Amino acid sequence: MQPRLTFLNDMELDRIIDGAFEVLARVGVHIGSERVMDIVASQPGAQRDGERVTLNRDLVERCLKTCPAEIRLYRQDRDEPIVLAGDEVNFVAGSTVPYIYDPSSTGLREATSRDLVNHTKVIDRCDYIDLQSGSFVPSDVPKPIVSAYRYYLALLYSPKPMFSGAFGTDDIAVIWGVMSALAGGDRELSERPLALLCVNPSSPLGLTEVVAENAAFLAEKNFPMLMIPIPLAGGSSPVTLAGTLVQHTAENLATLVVSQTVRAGAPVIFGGGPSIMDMRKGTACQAASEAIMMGAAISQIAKRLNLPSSTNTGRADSKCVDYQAGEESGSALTSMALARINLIRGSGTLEYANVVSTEKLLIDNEICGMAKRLIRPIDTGDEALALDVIFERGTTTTGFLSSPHTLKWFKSEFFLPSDIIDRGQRREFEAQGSKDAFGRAQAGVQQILAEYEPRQIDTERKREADRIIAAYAKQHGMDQLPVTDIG
Amino acid sequence: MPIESDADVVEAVCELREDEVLAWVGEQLELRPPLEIADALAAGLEQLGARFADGRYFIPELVMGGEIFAKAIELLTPALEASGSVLKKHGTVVMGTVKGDLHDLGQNLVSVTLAAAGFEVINLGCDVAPERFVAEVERTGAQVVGLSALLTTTMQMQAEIVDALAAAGLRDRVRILIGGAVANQRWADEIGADAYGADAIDALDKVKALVGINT
Repeated sequence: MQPRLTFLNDMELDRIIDGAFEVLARVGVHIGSERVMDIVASQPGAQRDGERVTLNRDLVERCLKTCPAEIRLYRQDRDEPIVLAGDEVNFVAGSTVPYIYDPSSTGLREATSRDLVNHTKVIDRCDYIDLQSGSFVPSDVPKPIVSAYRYYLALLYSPKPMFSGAFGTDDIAVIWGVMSALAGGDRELSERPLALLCVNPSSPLGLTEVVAENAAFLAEKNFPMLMIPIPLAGGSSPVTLAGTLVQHTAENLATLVVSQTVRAGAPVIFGGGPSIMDMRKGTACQAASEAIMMGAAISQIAKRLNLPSSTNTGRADSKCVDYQAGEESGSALTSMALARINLIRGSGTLEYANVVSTEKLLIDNEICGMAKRLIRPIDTGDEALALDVIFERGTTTTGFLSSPHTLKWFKSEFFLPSDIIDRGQRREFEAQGSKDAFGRAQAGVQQILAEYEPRQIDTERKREADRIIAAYAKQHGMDQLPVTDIG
Repeated sequence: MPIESDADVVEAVCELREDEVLAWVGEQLELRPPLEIADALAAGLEQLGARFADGRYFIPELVMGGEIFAKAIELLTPALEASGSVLKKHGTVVMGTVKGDLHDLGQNLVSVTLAAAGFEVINLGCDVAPERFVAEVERTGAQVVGLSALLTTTMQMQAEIVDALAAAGLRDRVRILIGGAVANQRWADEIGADAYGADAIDALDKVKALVGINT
């Protein structure tokens, strides 16, 4: 059997989904762009009232029918796709934070473009993290060019598909230009997306001008769009998990209606960043048990609606890479893999996704590897059941280590972690300086950076990407970007 | 438990017994000057704040207590105006989430906290355009304006509003506080704001410092 974590039965799922339909029909959604509002409001089943528009069930269901159930993303260096559909599980590095964890100073500092580059080099070497992200919002470039520059740097330094979003309505076209240059053209980019972009509906039930315009832009380009509403239970959505899930579903569906009315069939991912408000501190906790429960429910709702799924999960609320961070990310990443979410996004992050630690990313990578093992069923076929092996060896004192059966199976049956996870003898542990997991990860990061070899990239394509990003930077007063070479 | 004394009303505010508090305000208006009643209510709100600070109370209780206080003061307002008395306020703060950003949870918490601490708060809500901030600062003569932006996409708007206040010639008479998940002191310095509030309590401390109240 397939191991799986679920929290809701079909009747309970339908109550949540029906609730979302009712919310959209009665309260509707705020759309901050007049152009997009006109497109949506002209649909049969839409009723405009000022800056809000209500959407009846027929309209939303029509839009749901045209969404593809599967999305394929591509690494720049491989032909086989990363599939977002059904029970596929893929991990994504956590992203878009202003600070890097720096235990050598005050615990954190503002990240720079060089930090982004180094972090990307490490992501590239994380075997169990399938997608990269522009992890930092670098502080050494002007705000308006940050998002496009992140796509540029990330896609230069790692061939893994990139996940992030645009911060404005101008820069999304620049991001598109950079991606298209690196993919070898618009058609190539559409056929083999080397990235996806997200939009964040604002809870409750609001699409800002940037979100509405960018959702429309991505639909026009027929490019994968991840929708990430981040309702904060008790703050920007009801305090109950079910109530938050209703609102969260409605926010996804409203965004999806924008996409499908602009272009039927445009690919969308049902995503979310469920969190609860800590009622003592006022913080948005993303590693709480309830966030995990809602994350699993989001997966179930997405599957019921026949859409690919994603959650912001695996982020820790802890301020440092400690036992709390390990508990938070470990239980969340494992649970979300068991919930069969297609994109699990958050490895490496701390402090409600305000901070990223490159060392934690390496440790989380091991957790992702273990989680990927955990969701593979226990094989009970004849060979795995090993009756013959037990008949042969069970009465001897030689044990099973020398059995051909062991030799054949041990690599596939056991997940073998890297040295970040210490399974050795004390003697060895002491000989290597008695380092804890963080210390071992620090050494691991240093080693990866020291070993880095620049990847080969088509010169013409890079030149075109350089030209686009340099022109955009210049437009915003920056003549020389901090990093433009791979090295 | 009926409210029989000012100590009782402190407890009633803390226990969020809205109907009883408002009924008590109505009764007291027949008996004593409105300023005295307001002082008793303020003591209740202060006690609620103290219980929040020491961990016995939670944010929803603090918010609800603030709303009860505001309703009670509303009942007192006609009498206050008739008697020519003015509630002592530390100052006026215009608060809002900047244009393009629909998140006003954080700034609402700051607004409630400021109001509970004795500031007059003009809460403009979310998606507030620069010209509206300018107009409200002009209209109210506010000493402080608070600009909230949750998103990386909208923090640039904080800079635009700082510029708009300067262009309107208001920069010398209003101090600017910024806040939001991705803001920080360096961003405040970069855009020429006067202070950065990391959370509601920090924002209160910063506003007090901006208007020259010792904490």
